[in-house]
This record gives sequence, structure tokens and C-alpha cells, in this order.
Amino acid sequence: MSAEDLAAIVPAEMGRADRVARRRNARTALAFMVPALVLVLGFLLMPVVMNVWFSFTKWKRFQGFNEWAGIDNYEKLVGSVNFAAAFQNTVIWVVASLILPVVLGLSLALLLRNMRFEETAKTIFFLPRILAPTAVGVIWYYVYAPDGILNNTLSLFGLPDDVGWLYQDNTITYAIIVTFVWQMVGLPMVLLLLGLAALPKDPIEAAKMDGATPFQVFTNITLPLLSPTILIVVILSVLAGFTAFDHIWVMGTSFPGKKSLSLTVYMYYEGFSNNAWGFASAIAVVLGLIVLAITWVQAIVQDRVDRMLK
Amino acid sequence: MARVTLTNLVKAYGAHVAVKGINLDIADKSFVALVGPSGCGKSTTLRMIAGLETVSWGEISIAGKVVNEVSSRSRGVAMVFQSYALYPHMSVRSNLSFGLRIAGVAKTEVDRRVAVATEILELGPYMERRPSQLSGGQRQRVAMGRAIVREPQVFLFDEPLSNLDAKLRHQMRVEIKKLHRRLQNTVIYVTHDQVEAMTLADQIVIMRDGLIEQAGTPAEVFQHPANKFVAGFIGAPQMNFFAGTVTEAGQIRLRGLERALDVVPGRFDMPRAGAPVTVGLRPEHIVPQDHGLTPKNPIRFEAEVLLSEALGNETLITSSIGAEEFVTRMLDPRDVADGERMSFALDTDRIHLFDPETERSLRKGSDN
Amino acid sequence: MTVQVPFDLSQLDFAAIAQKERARNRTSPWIVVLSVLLALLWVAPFYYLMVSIFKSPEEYAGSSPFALPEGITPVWANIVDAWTTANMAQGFANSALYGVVGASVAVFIAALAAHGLARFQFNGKTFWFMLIFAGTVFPFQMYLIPLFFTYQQMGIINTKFGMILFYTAVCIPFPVLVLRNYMSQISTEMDEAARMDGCSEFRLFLNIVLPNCWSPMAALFLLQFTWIWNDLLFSTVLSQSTDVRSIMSALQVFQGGYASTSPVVVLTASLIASLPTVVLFLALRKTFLRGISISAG
Repeated sequence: MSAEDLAAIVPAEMGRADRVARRRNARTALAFMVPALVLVLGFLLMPVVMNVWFSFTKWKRFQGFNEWAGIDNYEKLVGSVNFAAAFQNTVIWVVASLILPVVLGLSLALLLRNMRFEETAKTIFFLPRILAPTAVGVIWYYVYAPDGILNNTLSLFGLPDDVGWLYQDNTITYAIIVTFVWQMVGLPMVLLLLGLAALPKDPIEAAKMDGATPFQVFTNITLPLLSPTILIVVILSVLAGFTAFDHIWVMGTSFPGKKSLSLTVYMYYEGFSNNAWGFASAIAVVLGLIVLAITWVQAIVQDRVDRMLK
Repeated sequence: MARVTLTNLVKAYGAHVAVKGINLDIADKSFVALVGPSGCGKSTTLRMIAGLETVSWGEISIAGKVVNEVSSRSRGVAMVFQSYALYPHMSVRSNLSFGLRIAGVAKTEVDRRVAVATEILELGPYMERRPSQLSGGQRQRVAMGRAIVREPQVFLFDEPLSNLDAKLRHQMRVEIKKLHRRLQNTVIYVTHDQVEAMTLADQIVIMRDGLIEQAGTPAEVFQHPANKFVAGFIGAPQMNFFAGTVTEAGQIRLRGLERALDVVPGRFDMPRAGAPVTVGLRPEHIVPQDHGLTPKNPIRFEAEVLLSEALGNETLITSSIGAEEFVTRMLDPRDVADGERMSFALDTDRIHLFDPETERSLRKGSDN
Repeated sequence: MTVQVPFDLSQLDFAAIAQKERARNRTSPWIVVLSVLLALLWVAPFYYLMVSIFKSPEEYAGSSPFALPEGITPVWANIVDAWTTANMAQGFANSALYGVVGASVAVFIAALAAHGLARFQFNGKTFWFMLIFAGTVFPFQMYLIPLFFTYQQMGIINTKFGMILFYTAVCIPFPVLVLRNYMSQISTEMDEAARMDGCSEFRLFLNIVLPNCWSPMAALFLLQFTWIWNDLLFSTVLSQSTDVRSIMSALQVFQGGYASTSPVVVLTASLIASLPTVVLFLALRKTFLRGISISAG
């Protein structure tokens, strides 16, 4: 064989060897992934597809299945008063969880860093996250009770002390949100503490030398450099707030309008109290779409933030 | 008048004292280098002048005003950090103008100053780039630009070139020197590299362990080091030290050398006869086989070559007198074999003498 | 230029200097006050919980919710009451089973998958990973009806097996993400050496890769165990009888009947139900928090 012949064959041979190796690798790797794939596909992905399918049916549990309803369920949804109320409440939840955990978490992180009791503080604020939302809901149910400690404290300050927090339309959602934030703020706080600790110190010193007041350093240097962490915190909080269920269910259980406290509970009650499976599936699909939208927005913003810091 | 005066300056971290009471007077428009090994307190001193560290004791005054309690931004100083400390999320232009913008300086003035700095440092092509898109040398220049834009009375440099490669370091040294000539500010420059200090500074301050060992012009500290530490710190390769004894006749005897060394009369405070003394000789003052400057009063001896390092323009030869090793420079070199026996000429006019215990120079009139 | 007047260090009072330094750096008293206030606010519900469980129902009804308990003996009655009313023994056992088995199997399966994803070079890695990760994207509501229906059809509704299956599946994607990142940072040289020694791929995984991953796996186990333990929704939907339901569902027995059972009993029940995870957290705080920072980093 001449040198030219060899040179012509070798790259193709090398390429082929590489491809064969990769295919063999793929087979082995897939073998490792099989248990995970089976379980995830079966329990987490197939149900989603089924749910979408169910949402187009006129299905009531215990009755016949397979009556195609097209988009009837969705139309019904749009026209439903309960849906509108639930949607509105969910929006309140999203806005609250967009702002409160971040602001509160950041304030706590700023307050507590460099303090001697940082470790204790971390435990105090993070412990609520370990509790079950159910237990938290129960405890706060009594906190909010007409004769509970909240009203008692208010009376100490001479404020009205007989509000039925969990019984009134205009207070219940906010009351539950407070409980939710109480439980959840530990994570944003810890993440932001970590983020603050990881900030490069030199640009901050340089800003001092450049004549910036502490406030100017914070707004012009610290915050922008912290924005990736803040973004993570915001996304986690928004998703948590949007999908909140346990607290609302447990604390709203005695409330007459409990169905419309949020889209998540709305779906549950429609599905398992009303047994309107087709309809409930439609609600679930709406929920899923919104979550996807939020995730998509997050990806875009994340990219933008990364680009700003690169 | 951007004169900087340090009086009895002390910095203590709990029980650890990093700066142990230094006094320094830095004239207006001068370029002063603080050099010393790591941990000597030079950076701490600089940071106290900058206002990034608090003063434990003593005073710092800039342009006649005591600034201990004055915030950094009102001291009239600007600092160039070792790691450049640029704002990663801002463009070069924003980095330069940040300090002025937040101080509320008028836009026309901001633009003017930025333009001046850009021109001096040739940053034109990079104005809209982010720091991560710049090379090390470019970032360094932006860091300097940020300082220039503040039009400070005193420039502070904290080991600005340590993160650059050798060639770039040399280039930037030249740039900094030119900058100083052009802007005519006071510069305080911290480095651990004595070559940088020697080439850049009007005055060198050598520090060790929180104290100033010696301060003077580069020529002074090189030719008349105040103690053994300074003698060994300044100059590369390092000065050679030998243990000697004073003879009855006022000469110095080195173990391993037949003839005793003559001492220039009247130059040193000689210890009494029989007392030990440390002798210092720079590598270029032990001349191998006449490849170098010919000494006027040489002492010749022969020794074996232990190691030779050929650098091209010169070869460093390690040999020994008795049990004590020394290094010498062979200019205009030829090939040298290890183990070769070579004759050396020792320049007795150039010896330095140090007290073996206090390590102080025994030269008459040396200030320490 | 130089004035080298020797300075006598000994004349300085270092203790005074250190104190002045500390005073200068001391965080403003306002901040301390604010922090303490916020900490108290956060602890308040715990305080309320702790003082209430030691009161008898009558004592609670008769006194301010803030008041300290008169003694500790009522707590035993409360515990017994809570335990039996909510059938906590069964709930505990079930949740423990689901948590331990579900979390450990899930983390192990996730390690397997992560190994495949992280340590082999092949086309389409990202696709498979995204497939697994897609399991975390959708809200739980989308699983409820389909799973309930399928479980019913397959006859595993209201069975412990069914619960374990579900909990395992749902706890897989997140650990895959974390372990994949972790494993890709372990050098692959040992793999190559082992392969040349004739080691099978599975043995390689078991004996070489896995032992290096105990730290993140332990943290992940704790996180997933806590999640399973705290679950209410799926336990309520996929199981109906008390011998299958988790501890959180067991607490539901008080729901709606809050008025009829004294708060002290319900609170005691909540505390008991939360105890295992809280104890785990306090004892293994570092592992937990490390798990958080790994997952966020």
C-alpha cells in the first residue's frame, strides 16, 4: 500500500473506531440509566401525557370514560368564577413569593453575615423548612385562631384582636402567605449568605477607594455581582409559591371558599371532591403550562444575567 | 504639596503586631518603593495609607493633614490593586468613570478625564469591552486608568505587576516610570521584587518584620547597605557572606584563604583583634579569571567550580572558600566544566563588614 | 527623607488597641436589636408549640396562649391522646418504611444513572439527561389523576408497594442532577485502570465510583427522606386506609375536627410527627446544609 492510500483510509478508520466506541459506551451507559429511566418515564412523564389526554375528555369518575369533549373543559374553565378567583389568588401568591422571600432573605443575610451568632441564626431560620408543611399549617392554624397568640399579641399593643384571619376573604390568603414565607425564608437566606461570602472582595475595596458610600457600593457593585444567586432564589421561590398546596389545604380547610384559594387546591377539590376528572385534568394542564412558562422565562433571564457578568 | 508622612505607625491584630512603629517622610512628587519579603508589613502599611486598614497607633498625614480618621475617598489617594479589582460587570469605560459618576461630577468633566486616561494608557480600542475580555496587561492598564481618573495627590500601587509574566512585567515597568514622569504625582509602590524597586524608585524603603531596615536612594542601599539583611536583599544574585576574624594587624582573615584581606583604612569601625566579623562581597566583586571588572587591590585564590549556570551573557559560578560557598559572575563567558579549578580575584576595596551579632554595617557613618 | 528614631513598642497598651478595634468593628447596636427581634419572631411559633404541649386541654383553654405551663405532666396525656387518635404508630411505621426505602433506592438508582451520564462519552447524553430531569418540571397536580387511575387499574392503589414505587420514582431526578455534576469531577483515570484490569462495568461502579460519592449521597438521602416524610398530597391520594397512609395523612384525622379536639392534642401530634426529621436535621445539620450548597452550586 502506498502512503497516499494509507492516508486516505486512516481518517475514516479512526472515525469509525471512535463511533464504534461511542456506540458501545452508549449501550453501557444506557444500561446504567435503565432503572431511572423506567421509573421516571412511568411515574413522572407518562402521567403528564395521560393528564393532557384526560383534559380533553368529559370524564367524571365512577362514570364512563372516553367521551371526547374537545376543549369544552377549557372553555368551562375560562368562564368559571371559581377559576377566576383561584387564578387571582395564585397571582397574589406568585407576586408575594417573588418579592417577600428574596427581600426578607437578603435582609436577613445582610444582617446576619459577620455576626457571631450566624450559625445559630442559620439554624433558627432554616429549621422551619425541615418541618412538614402539614405540621406548620396546623401550628399556624392555631396561631391565627381567634384566641390564638397572634390576636393576643395584637391586643398587647392595643390593636384589634378579634380578627378571624383564616375566616375572612380579605385576610386568609395573606395569612397563609405569611405562614408560607415563615417556613420558606431559610433557604433564600442561606443561599444568599453563601453568595455574599463568595463575592470577590477586591472590587468592593476598589469601590471604597473610588469614593463610594456603603450604600453606593451595595447598589452598584454588590447587588449586580450577587444577581446570579438572587435569580436562583427568585425562581425557586416563585415556583414554590406557585405550586404551594399543603399549607393552603390544611389552613383553608374550614374556609367556605376554600376551593378558590389557589389553582392547586382548586384542581384537587374538583378532582377528588367533585370527581370531575376531565375538568380537573384541564386545570392541571393549565398549571403545567404556567410552570413551563416560568421555567422558560427563567432560562432567558439567567442567560441575560450570565452575559452581563461575563 | 502631596507630601506623605508616617509617624510611629503601628498596626496590631490582637497580639500580632504587623507594623511595629515606622517613621517615613515621603517628599512630594517622589516615587517611593516599599520592598521586603512577605509578611514584612509593606502591604499593611500601604493599606493604612489608603484607608483600607485602621491605624492602631501613630499618625499618617497627607499634604500636611492628619488623615487617620478620614475616609479613603477624602484622602486624595488612588490605589492600583494586585488583582486589578476591576468591576467585572461594567465596561472599561464604566470602570473608569464609576468613581466620578457616583460622586456627581459633571458629565463633561468625567468625559474629559476618561479621555485623558484613555489616551495616556492607550485604552482606546477597549473602551466598551468587559474585563473578562481583556488580557492581564490590558486589565492592569485599566486599573491604572481608574486611579488616574481620580487625579489623586498620591498614587498607591500594591504589587501591581506580580500577576503578569516576565516580559509583560518589564514592559509595564517602563510604562509606569513614564507615567510618573508625565503626571508628576507622589507614588508609593509596594513590591517584593527588588529589581522593580531599584529600577522604578527615587527612594527605596526596605522593610522586614514590621520595621524599616533602611531607606535611601537605590544607589545608597546598594552601595552602602545598613545591615546584612539589606545587603542580602538588594542585588541579584545575592551578596556573598563569609565568616572572618580580625587579625592583630587590622586585617580580616577568612578561613580557607591564605592571605588576609586588607581593609580600606578609616572606612570601618573595626572590632578589636581576634573578634569575629561578617564579610560581604557582591558576586561581581569576586572576578573569575579576569572575566569581569579588574579589581584594584585583588587577592587571588584558586577554587573548584561546584556549579555553573550559563545565562548566555554571563555565567554564574558557584564555588567555595573553605567551607563557605559563594556565587560569582563571569562576564563574557566561556564554557565551564564542573569541578574545574579556577582562579578568582577578590576585590578587597569592595568588601562590606557587618557585626556578626547585630548584623549592622560597620561602615563609618552609615545610618541605621 | 528618613527618620529612623527607634520606636518603643512596649509603651503601647495592646489590649486597649485591640478593644478599640473591636469597638470600631462592632456591628451597630441597631442591627443586633433588629436581628434579635427577627429571630424572636421566627421562634415564636416554636415557643407557642412548646408551651402548649405541656398544658392539659383545660389549662390551655383557661389561660393565655403565651403562658408558661404549670407543669410537665399533662404532656404525657397529650401524647397518648394524639398517638391513639391519629393512629400514629401505623403512620410512623409507614412513613419510616417509605422514607428509608424510597430515599435510599432512589439515590442508588440515581447514582447508577448519574454514572452512566457522567462517565461515558457518547452522543445524546444531554437528551437522556433532560428526559430524566423533565421529571421535575411538571407540577404535582398533573400526576394526581393519572396515577390514581393507573394505580386503581393495576390494583396497587392503597398498597405499601405502590407508595414505595411512587416515592422512589419521584425522588430520582434531583439526585441525578446533583450526582451527575459531582461524578463528572471525579477523575476517570481509575476507571481506565480498572477496565484494563478486567473489571466489569458494574463492579467498577460499585467499588470505585460509589465509595467516592458517600458525602453527596448521604446529603441527598437526608433531603429526599425529609421530603417523603413530609409528603401529604400523594399519601392522601394514592392511599386511603390508615394502614397504608403516611404520618402526615394521619394528622389529617384532626382536620375539620379542629374544634372538637383540643389544640394541645393536635399540636402534640404535629410535634411528634415532625420529631424524626427535626432530630435528623439538628444532628446532621452540616450534612444537610452541605447538600443545599451542592445542589445550588
